[in-house]
Amino acid sequence: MENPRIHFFKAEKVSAELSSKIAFINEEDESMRLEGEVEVRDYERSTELYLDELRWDPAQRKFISDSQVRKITPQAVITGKGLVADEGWNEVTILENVEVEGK
Amino acid sequence: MILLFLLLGFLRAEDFSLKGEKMFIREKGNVYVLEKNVTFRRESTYLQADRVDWSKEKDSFQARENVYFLVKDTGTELEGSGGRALYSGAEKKMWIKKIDRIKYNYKVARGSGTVTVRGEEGEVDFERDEAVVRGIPVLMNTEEWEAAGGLLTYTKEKLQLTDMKYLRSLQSSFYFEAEELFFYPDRERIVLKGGVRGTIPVY
Repeated sequence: MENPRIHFFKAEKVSAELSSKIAFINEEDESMRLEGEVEVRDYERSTELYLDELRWDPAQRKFISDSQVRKITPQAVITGKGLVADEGWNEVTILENVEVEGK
Repeated sequence: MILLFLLLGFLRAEDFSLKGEKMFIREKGNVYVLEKNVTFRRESTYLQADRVDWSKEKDSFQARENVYFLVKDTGTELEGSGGRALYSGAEKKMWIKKIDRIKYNYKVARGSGTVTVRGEEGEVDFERDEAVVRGIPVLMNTEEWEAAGGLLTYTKEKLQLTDMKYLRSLQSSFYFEAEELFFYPDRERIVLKGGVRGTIPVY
């Protein structure tokens, strides 16, 4: 699927949006892989997350990535490599070489 | 234009950088935890620890385990280690607990000198350019002398030891007791105040 756009809703409003250049969806196990300019925009928290690739693991119910990560928040820019996040993006772990530039 | 540069310089002075091998983010509660070889820099302060908890809301950084810190100023350095340090950007202060040692490095006409301080806990006030170390007792020493007291206050001009127990030479049998000790690093001079008594070796 090209240029997929996934919306997350909270109280009937779009709370977050996930987009990429291409998505591979496995209908058998409901896993998904997003590739190229992956972006997660969290409108509730005013944060943006940029990655090269992102996978959804339905068994673990987690988003996983091995690529470079760049998260922009109102207070800081966070970069690193590799990521694991829960389905609501409430708990995120950046796995390697984390750098924060903030104010 | 000059004003703009000054303003930008002022704004940039508030910036910070944090580095670590791993980061855990819990969005509810704005909890950001960095682990392993964590370093923190902001203005004149450098911190190193096994773990740093960053609170975005409070603009605070709590360093835990194997904490090393360095506060650099013109001509002086305050460096040390301890079990825990809390840097508050909002209050412009840093608190240090379970102090192993603090070294106060200063410059004098003959070169440089160091006062080593041991105590329980300390507080650095960046706005007032002042640091305080508390302990039972606070011990401070150079290569030449050692003193003990209850509270050490550091400003750019002097180190002040109150509730003083003693001052003794490490190279001769000088021994003094007094209420307060003032050490002026630029002149490397010690002044004792209040109930001064002691012994001076006579050769």
